[in-house]
Amino acid sequence: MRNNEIVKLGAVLCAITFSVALILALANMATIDRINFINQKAQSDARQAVLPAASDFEEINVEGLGQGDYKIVKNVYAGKSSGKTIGYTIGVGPMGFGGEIDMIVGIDESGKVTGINIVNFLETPGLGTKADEPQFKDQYNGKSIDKPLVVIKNGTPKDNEIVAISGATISSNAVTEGVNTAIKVVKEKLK
Amino acid sequence: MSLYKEFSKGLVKDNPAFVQLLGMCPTLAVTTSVVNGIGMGLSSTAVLIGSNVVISLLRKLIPSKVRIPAFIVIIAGFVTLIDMALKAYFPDLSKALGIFIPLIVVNCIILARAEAFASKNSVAKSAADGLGMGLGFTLALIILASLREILGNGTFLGMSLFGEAFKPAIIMILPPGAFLGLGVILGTMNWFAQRKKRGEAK
Amino acid sequence: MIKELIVIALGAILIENFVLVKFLGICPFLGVSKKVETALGMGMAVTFVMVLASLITWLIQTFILDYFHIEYLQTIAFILVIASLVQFVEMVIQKMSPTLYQALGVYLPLITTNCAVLGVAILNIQKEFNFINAIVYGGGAAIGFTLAIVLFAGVRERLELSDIPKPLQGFPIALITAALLSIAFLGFQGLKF
Repeated sequence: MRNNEIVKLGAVLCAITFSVALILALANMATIDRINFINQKAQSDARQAVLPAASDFEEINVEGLGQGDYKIVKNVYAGKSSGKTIGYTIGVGPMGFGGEIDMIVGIDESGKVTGINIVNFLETPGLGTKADEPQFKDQYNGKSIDKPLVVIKNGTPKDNEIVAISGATISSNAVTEGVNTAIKVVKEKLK
Repeated sequence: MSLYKEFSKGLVKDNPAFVQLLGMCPTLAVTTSVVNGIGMGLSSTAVLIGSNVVISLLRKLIPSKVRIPAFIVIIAGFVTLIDMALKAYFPDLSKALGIFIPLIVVNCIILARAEAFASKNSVAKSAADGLGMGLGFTLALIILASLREILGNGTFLGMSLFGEAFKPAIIMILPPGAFLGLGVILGTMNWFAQRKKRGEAK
Repeated sequence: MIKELIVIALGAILIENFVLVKFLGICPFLGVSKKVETALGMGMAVTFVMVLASLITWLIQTFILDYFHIEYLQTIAFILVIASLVQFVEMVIQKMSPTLYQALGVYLPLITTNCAVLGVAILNIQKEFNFINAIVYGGGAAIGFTLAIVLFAGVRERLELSDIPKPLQGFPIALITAALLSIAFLGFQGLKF
């Protein structure tokens, strides 16, 4: 009798779990293409935005990413225009306030930063999100990769300086760390 | 009429977040901006209605000994559905709410309503209860999020309210602001309740 | 290797404290923090479950969900693992050490709905940790939880004896206390390795 009951309980639970899993499998089939498409589009839009001159992008394999000094580097793409490499986009993930900042840095062949784009981040909305506003972001455009960038709190920035977002120094530092690491990849690994 | 009663009790009288103090994790975590608060509130409402209806439908089929695991599986199923829907149609919101979407599973409000209400009441009543509790939760999130966004960032729904000269109290959108904001709201509610009681006593 | 593990552990304990910075595990944090002793008991029980949960969910994700490409069943699989784990731990402790069971008994079932446990399991996967890192992160997160809840209980014990304005008594003052504690933990954000 008791065994029967256990079998019955188990059967009911299994039936519920199985039906839920089945429904989810169907829902997954219905949405997965769209989700993948959105994610890929977000990535390719972001690459396009930081290296506008390129018309298509090709992932290149670089040794030593994801370890040591390049721990935060995720991927490197070569941006091409009519078959010629005109620059690179480097995906980096520096640690900001309360999580990783998933961002892309564009650097062209002449050694200038062409733009940065923040794809995904868990920063405090309103604080870290200001890092994605042109006012802050555009400071990086046209910076030369000869010297590492430095964050200053206020004042007029010199060539290699970036003015921090007020009250969000950690986010500003993190973004700058990402850019500096991307610069390092281009200088040490791609030249 | 009684359906309306089941619906309305969750809004103010038994408000899940402010009165029953359930679902505190998402309440504190996602209220850095009003948009996030609304998104979290409505996602939880959808899960709550769905799980309440299904559990009420199955209430005679689920043996009481295994009801908690059964409820959890059903709730987790709805949460995963919402997660997929958000990822596919509202990717920005999905990113902003992040890990707190899957964590709706362990939001005590949902299991509490399943156990205390849906497993004992009809489908229509359970749906009304789920809608009311969900909207009450959303309302609470909006109140706390407004307080934090206005004071901490000087904006409401992303629109700047006070112009450039306003220096926002950043602490309000940092983690301490969540505790502080909720503490002050609950304190104010107590103050009103006690004043009303004193007034009646006189 | 060792340095990386220390960074992960310290990060989970202080910089990204689960309770005070990430808002995971708030229910037990507010509910079971009136006395230091019970807070410590809860912390120990959670530590135990969190480390085991990190271990098992990592294996399930890697060898079942990823292998069969059914990642979308993650939430269901993890919550079932945690629920059975809690049940299992409860039974084991009851058999092995009745004294410990008496001390922790009440809190054990509550752990299933402690979002810190599910949270750490999901974060381990999101952060793409390897097996060892996942366990260290789980342990660090649990110690961080214990640290926060014990500190908080210490303050609340004192609060009991203070003269608090009536509307603020109970939860409101507890939340405001938590805010102050959270401000203190904000200071750790400046730590850099």
